[in-house]
Amino acid sequence: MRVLIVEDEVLVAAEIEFLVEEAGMETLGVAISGEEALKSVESLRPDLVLLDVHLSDGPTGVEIARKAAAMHGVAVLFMTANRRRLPDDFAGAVGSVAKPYTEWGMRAALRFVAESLVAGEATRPAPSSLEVSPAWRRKWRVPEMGHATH
Amino acid sequence: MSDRSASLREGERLADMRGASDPYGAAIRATRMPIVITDASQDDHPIVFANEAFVGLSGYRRDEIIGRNCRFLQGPETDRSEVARIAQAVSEGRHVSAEILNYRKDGTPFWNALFVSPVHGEDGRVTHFFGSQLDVTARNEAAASLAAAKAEAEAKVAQRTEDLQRALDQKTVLLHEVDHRVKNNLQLISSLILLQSRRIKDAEIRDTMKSMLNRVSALATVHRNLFQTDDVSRFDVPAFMRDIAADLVDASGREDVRVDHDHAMVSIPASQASALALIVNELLTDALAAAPQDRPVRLDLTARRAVDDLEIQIALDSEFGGRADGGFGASLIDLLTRQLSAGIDRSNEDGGSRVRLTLPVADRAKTS
Repeated sequence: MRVLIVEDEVLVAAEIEFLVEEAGMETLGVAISGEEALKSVESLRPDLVLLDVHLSDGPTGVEIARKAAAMHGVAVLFMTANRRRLPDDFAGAVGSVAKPYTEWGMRAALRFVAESLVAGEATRPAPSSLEVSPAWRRKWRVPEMGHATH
Repeated sequence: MSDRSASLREGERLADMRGASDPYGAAIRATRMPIVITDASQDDHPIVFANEAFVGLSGYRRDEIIGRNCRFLQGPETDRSEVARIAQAVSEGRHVSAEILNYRKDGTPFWNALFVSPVHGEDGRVTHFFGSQLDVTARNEAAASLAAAKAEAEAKVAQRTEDLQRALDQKTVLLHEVDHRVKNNLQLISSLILLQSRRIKDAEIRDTMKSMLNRVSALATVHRNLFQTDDVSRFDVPAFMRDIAADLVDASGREDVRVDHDHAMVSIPASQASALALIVNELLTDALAAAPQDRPVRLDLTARRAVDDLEIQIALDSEFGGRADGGFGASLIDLLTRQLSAGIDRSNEDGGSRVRLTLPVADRAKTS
């Protein structure tokens, strides 16, 4: 699985690259602006885009997600500190990992998304670090966790 | 034009009917309400009687009044449609009341609340009209200034409301901006610790770095959960317990740890969240470190309200105590429980251990 990382904090991006490779996926590099991200999505055709909403050229992440989701076979996963900025339909994205995520929260989210993308459906409940969008929850038939207090 | 002498004669006739000793005549002459009587039998209804109060109100001498139609009180700002309405009623022999702007002899205007009423003769025909006046200028001005004051106050309130709304909007924007920066910085700190710890060969130092990372992660989990609801001053304890437990169990690398959550809907002031999170992090880390490797283990986590306390209990189906972490974890727990005025109670039973954290929960009103 080929993964493009879009994140304007290079240290955060470096850490994500590590986690992606550790999860057995291939990184296609890091884009730090929306413009760069769009070019890379078009030229590299990644399977998965890990996408920050706030980039070096502004809050362009949502727009990139729409364009990427419109391309055949590109799954997008938001990583954002500002969940409220995401539209209700997640701009076609798989879901969102809230920042600041923890190492294990991100690992669990990556594992879930990678497995589900390969299998075409969820093989386990989504981890609490990952909010799956309504459309992908249906597509992957994601089992509900059923918390008493959630 | 009416004959002024005819008006004078009619006035005298009326005065004779109600001489000086007649109480009705005396009353109408002496009342403080300005009153006129007009003669309906003459053309243009001239005034045949005006009392002292009317003379005083109008500023005209009596001889300037008698023989004239009441319209001499009108002036440039008098409402013509009201005048027409009065004339219509008079021509139909009806009584009418109106409020019109009149003018004194010296030209000063006054608001005149007048009442015109027909007087019928024995044959039923209208012989006279009786007109009483009332200067309501002061009342109208008071009402006008009250309305102006009210409008001014309303404008001030609207302006103030707008100012407050703008201040609130700015505060909200600032809160989101700060929230965003805090979250991004915590992410950055985690990344820094992780990136460096990956280069460390010494296992003991790496473990220390990992402990620090977990503490930073606990704080990150707090901030991720803050500002999720509209009440930004409260921290959702159950949501935090689920997140941190999932994280630490994942970090332990064990798939045979079962975590059961049994939480009531409890929240604490946001100001206490970080300290609580660090304590829970240490306690859970202790429990997971002590969990036997050779069999599946079970963790029971509960959070509930007990009178004025919040009770968080961590129970493991195996005995555990403090860690040999150079004592730092233990001192963290010690310091932070003191900060929160919390109590820690440990007990062992049936081969398992439980630790209970009791946190006094202040009144909502007192915390922010």
